[in-house]
Amino acid sequence: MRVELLDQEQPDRTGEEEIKRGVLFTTLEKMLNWARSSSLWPATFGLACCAIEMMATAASRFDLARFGAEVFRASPRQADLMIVSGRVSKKMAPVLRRIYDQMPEPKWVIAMGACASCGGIFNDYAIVQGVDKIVPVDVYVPGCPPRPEQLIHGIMLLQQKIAKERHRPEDLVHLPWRRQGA
Amino acid sequence: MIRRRWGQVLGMLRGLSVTFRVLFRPPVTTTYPDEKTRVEERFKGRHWLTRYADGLERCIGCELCVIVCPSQAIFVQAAENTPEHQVSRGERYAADFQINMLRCIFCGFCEEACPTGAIVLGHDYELAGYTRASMIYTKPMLTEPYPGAGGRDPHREI
Amino acid sequence: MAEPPATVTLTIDGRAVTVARGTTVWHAAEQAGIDIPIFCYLDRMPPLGACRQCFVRVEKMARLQTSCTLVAEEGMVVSASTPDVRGAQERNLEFLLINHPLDCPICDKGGECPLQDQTFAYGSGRSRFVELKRDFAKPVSLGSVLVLDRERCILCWRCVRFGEIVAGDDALKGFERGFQTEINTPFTQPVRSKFIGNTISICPVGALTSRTYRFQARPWDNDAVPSVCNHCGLGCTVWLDVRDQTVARVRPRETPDLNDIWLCDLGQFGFEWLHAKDRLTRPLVRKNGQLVETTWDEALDLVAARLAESRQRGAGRVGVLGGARLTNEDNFLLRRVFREIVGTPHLDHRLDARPGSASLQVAWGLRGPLAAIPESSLLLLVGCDITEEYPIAWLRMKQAVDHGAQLYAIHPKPLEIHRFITGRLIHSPGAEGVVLAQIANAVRGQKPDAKVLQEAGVDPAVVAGLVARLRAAARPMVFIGKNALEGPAGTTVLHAAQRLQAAGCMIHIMRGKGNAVGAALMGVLPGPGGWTAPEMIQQAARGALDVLYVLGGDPATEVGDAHAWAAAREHTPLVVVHDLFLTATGRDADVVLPALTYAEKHGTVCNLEGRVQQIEAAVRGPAGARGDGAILLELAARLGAEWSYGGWEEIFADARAAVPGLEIGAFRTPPPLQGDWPANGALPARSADLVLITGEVLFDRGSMTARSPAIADLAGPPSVWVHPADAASRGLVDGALAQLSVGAAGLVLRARLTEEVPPGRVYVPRGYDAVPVNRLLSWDQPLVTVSLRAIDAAAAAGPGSEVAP
Repeated sequence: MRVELLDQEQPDRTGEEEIKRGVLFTTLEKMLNWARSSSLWPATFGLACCAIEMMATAASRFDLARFGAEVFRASPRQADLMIVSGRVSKKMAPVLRRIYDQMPEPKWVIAMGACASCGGIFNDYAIVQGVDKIVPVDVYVPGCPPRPEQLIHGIMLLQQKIAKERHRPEDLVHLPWRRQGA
Repeated sequence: MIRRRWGQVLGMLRGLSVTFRVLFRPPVTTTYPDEKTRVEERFKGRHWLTRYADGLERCIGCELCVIVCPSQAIFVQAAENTPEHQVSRGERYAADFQINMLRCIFCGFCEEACPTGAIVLGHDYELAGYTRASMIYTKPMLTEPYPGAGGRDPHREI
Repeated sequence: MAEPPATVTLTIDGRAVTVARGTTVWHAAEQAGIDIPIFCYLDRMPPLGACRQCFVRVEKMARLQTSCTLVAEEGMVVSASTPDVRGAQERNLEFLLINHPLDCPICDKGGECPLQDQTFAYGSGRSRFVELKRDFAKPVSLGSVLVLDRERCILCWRCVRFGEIVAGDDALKGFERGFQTEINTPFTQPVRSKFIGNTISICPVGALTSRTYRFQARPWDNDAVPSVCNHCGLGCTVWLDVRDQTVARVRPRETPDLNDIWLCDLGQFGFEWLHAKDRLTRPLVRKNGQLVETTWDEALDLVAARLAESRQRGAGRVGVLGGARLTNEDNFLLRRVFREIVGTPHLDHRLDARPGSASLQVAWGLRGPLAAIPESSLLLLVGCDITEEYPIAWLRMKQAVDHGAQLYAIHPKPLEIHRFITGRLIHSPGAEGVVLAQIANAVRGQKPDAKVLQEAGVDPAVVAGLVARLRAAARPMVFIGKNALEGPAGTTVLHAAQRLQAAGCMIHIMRGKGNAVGAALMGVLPGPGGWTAPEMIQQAARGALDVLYVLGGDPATEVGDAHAWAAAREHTPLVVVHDLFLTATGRDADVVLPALTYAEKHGTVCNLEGRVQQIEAAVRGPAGARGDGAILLELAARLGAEWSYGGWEEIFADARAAVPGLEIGAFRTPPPLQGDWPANGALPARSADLVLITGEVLFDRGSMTARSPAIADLAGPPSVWVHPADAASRGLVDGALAQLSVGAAGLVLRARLTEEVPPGRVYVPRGYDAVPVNRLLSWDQPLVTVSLRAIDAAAAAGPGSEVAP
């Protein structure tokens, strides 16, 4: 989905054409999905070596800002994407779950790297065999660690997934006569 | 006093000089995904099970990759070739070959252990997926569709 | 002259080692913890010195010596790791590898190969051999279980010598010479052996590999689970190598005083039925004449309701048959449920006994350990076809024979091991009692009646020789088999055996498969006022039973009279069967409950020695099937019992309280023969017709073996063995179809012309479920005469006859 800005360099257009060129008609659902997918705010959940690649992804060379996802938040309350990068020990698992629970809806999870996805080489007593044992995972990114491109690819997959999300009407429009939770 | 102020301004200008110098350089940001990043020749990405030039599979199902794999990501079930169903050279071939791409750490040990050079790690790195099941690559997904499709010379000798 | 000291002291690599006189240098080094590489030597066989790998340098000896053949002497100075010795070992390996194809990646031995290991430890790492290697066609199939790869062979002769020394079957031999030497069977015929699986396990390279395990798994894929084979009653210890919930192969587990490192081919290759596609997974209940799948709850409720109903009608209206394939714990629960809750004394595991037969009157099992057999100097087999029934016991007998023991066999037909038999006593069918009675009398001083013996078909001179040797023998042993006990003269045999026992013989009752001894120990035997299995079947035919409960057995094919079982089935309102497959019994039953095998259960089992051994569950088994013990516990709960067992250990603890001396590893040896058996000195009437003799064979096509392709293939089609003279008079040729009839009943079988059957008799192996020979047999008539005629293939599809292609 692309949104074009009003092009003011074309003075010879009629007002109607101007409106056609400059105004985009879409559904509220798509609009909402576009907004959400284009401004993913990740919570910092770097656990191990994968986190270094995650930081590199956010830095200038790979510039996660190109995807609207550069705003790593230290508070889960301000984040809607959790990139679990690194092996999750059984001791860390409740912390991870708690932070996930503290994130407001809607929220997504990317399991970055072999360890977060399924335990990787650490098939042992200490490591959670995949973060999907604790939280629902939307996208798995293989690699040990994945290159920044691989993480970006994962984020793009997530954006595609968000773009396809379907919503109930009452979730899109606030209808005053329908009370929340009714 | 003036000297101190001057020193501060100089410091600021010195810092800004870096900014201005970099400002006119071409950007360092890669253009991925519009342009795929070129990886080094020895980069280890997605696996391929290669073929000989005559189309026979190189894999003989010996399971050396299975034992060497540090993350136990590979499963192989061997079977016997018959004259009517000759899959690889010799007596034995891999009837089933699966790699769990999520477990895999792309270390390349399997490629090193392989006595026939059957398994190679290619350059494809866009491997993310939505489900765990989709990340287990089966033999049809891993076997290169035609000799050389995995990016290696099908005539090479090990 | 002074006696030389019992020990010698030598120096190996600077260490003083004291060993018993006669020990080889290789063993001395082993005892000192010094590793000398070796291929050809196996400590179960004498040294040979063929592979030249175990070179050592001995001071004052001109050349390097092979340590496996060199006997340690006082004051020897041996070096096993000097550069020249290491160099010799390295060069020897290089020579061995000249013709070895180095195809380890595709070789089944790869990963557990002594040649790999030795090359890794002692090899040079590179070969200077650039010429073409020796080239043989490969792989060569040698029958149903063995695959030969001649290129890999390093000519250590272990397999050949195994056949010569251990098994005595000379299955494999060396052919050609020099560069072209190869191990093979004559004319690359399918190998004929019952122990060929052992050559696979002792082969130090991948020259001999198994067909069933071919390319199935790698050693590193397998989890080895200790278990106990449940085919014959000897309970050989095995490893079940499990890959992904599938038993990939069975290997012998070393137990020096039981099976040592050996295993028969049935034990080694007869396991594929564990994963047969037609394993039962859901309970079946008969509705409107059809067996339909149902839930466990419905099936168990039905059985429990009918058992409770029968209990209300009066005690003793329920019969329980079987138990030989269950664990001790299952059998213990079986007894508890039916004796304590249902309140019936009618339990018996001896399905295949004849009413009133001698087997029912004696405790089964060996009266001494298996390992004591080689110490005996005289072995007498009475109606016991040892290689077919208890093959591993034969390996012990072979050891005894090698030590100079005499082997005698009283049997209605020649045995496979006739080469090793000192005296054959091939008697006319049914005369074994008379022959043994004559022998027992003769041992106690009476003169044998030559006329009677001749009438019984045996040579009086052989009997005289046997008697003389029996008197002089050290620890003589008598093995009484099923044929003798179930024959018409069973009690006479026991009577005579008891007198031989008084004369110093050890009497072994070679009877029972699987865990039969454990079932007996746990009390799956008739209680006070209870009926034996054949009595139960007879009473059931009269309508005396409400419920017949059959576990792990197939009476329809195992009971010695198919008509008796059919009548029992017909007149019993409810027949419940626990089984793995829908057997002939199951097809006619009212409720069939899917059970688990020995490889899927934890517990203990007993073998014929009474040795209590633990087994571990190796695989989960098909979803939906349940262990026999679990099913019985469910039934008990439905019948109002409040038992709680947290695992097999708790059941075993209860069983231990009930059976004193029951401990894992302990022996519960049956008592010596003690009884008052009637003796009958009369010979059976001679018959002009062919007399039918039946017997167990190792490879058959029963419910389990038919589902193991390798064993079914070894067994071949169901056949009738006929003497060529008898065949000629009936126009039969080898491999032709023949109809065997008794009255109206008939079977169509393949004729096998062989002199292994005396003229005037035909031999039909039991254990072929598709062509059950018990249709021709009758309990009323211990000796059956049959008519045999050739038929053409087109007429073979007649009623009541089934033909294997």
